[in-house]
Amino acid sequence: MVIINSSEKNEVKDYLLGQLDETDAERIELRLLSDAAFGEEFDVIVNEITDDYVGDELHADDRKRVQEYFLRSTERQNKLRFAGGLLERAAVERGAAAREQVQPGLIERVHAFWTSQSLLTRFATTFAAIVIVAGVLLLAIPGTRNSGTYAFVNLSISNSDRAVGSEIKTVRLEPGSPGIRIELSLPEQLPPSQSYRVELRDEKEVARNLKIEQQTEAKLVVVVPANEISPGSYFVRLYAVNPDRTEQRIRGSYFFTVR
Amino acid sequence: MTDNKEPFDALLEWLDADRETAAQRYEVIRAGLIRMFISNGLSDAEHYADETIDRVMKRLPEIKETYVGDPVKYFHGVARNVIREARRRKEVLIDIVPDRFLQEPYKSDASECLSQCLRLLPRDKQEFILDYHLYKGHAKIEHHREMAGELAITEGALRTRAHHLRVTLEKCVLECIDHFGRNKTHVSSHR
Repeated sequence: MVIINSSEKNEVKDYLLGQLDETDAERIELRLLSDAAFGEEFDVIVNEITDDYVGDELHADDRKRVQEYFLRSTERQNKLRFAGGLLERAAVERGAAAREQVQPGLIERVHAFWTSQSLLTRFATTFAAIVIVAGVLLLAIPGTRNSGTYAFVNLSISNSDRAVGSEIKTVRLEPGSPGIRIELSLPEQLPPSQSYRVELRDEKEVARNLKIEQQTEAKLVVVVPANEISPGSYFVRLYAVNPDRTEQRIRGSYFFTVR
Repeated sequence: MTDNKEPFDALLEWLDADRETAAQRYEVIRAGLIRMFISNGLSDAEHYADETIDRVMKRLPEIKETYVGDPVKYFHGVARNVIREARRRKEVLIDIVPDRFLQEPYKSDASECLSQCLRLLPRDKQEFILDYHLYKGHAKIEHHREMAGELAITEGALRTRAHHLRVTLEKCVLECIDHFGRNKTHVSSHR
């Protein structure tokens, strides 16, 4: 099976929800008629949409499109019933098994390891830990004494251009804080070496670019200085920057509120 | 000469000079047509796919000498006409499917069929397919990552494995429901 990138995946989703224009829809359909692996990937996306609908994981507007467009054929309605039965069976039969097999958490594992050690080892380890922590504090304090703490929020992309209540994170900007550090989780299947432009927009859609402080394969970190942001609702848009400096917007937005 | 050949043979020859490659292309086109018709809201998509292929076969003697380009584009054009005609005949559902109708409980026959079809799978595959569909949202992503790690395969391979298993299971359940339905009709007609 081919692994299609997230932009192609979004395009297939748009096709399945009846949101592509005729030219783009034709491109998808021609590929369906000529590429077996793409057809299989298409079926996986159909199943994902079906499961998300059954699991009530879609935004209201996508849910409506599923009902109005995606589920018109009896084949899709049969698929929906099958998905409902399968997910229910999984929850009933394997939900209990999963709960029984829950791995002990980090604290439980550390506690188990700690109590299995001899008294002398525990004493020596405690002493070494105190020395290390004290050393780190001595090194860190001069550098941080004059700077307040950044408010922090990590955001995931919402596959919608409108904020939905449960998805909006709130970040509290305390007096004296130098600003907000925002960690943006990148959508899966984007190329790891991709360049981006990050755009912050307020309620009035006034936009400004944010400097990327850190980038890994999975996330971007940007900082908004405190004097450039006030309480209100904001959203962040992400643009993939191509080597020729052209840009392509990544579908969806990151929403948050500042208090 | 190909003019005297059966229409289906002529169609395969048009798709590719190598018969095996042509047969593979034919299968891809038919599967693609079915996906296309379902996505455009037509029920009984297999019937429309066969209708499209029949039309192409009938037109082939006229067009094959002059047609330039990928045959797939010709199939696509004919399929679009089929969709337009079906819409004119109002064979595409336009109203919203009621939420209540879609969320009705999985009927006992279907539930029994699911049990039967799961039992046909080896134990490890039963557990795999149910485990794969266990969680929602972020927990699902984490869970799939863990499953892939435990099986020492990539998440993409895990997704493919789950998809193939689900296709098999779904096909088995649909055939079983169909069988149940026919038996019920048979019993009631003898009452």
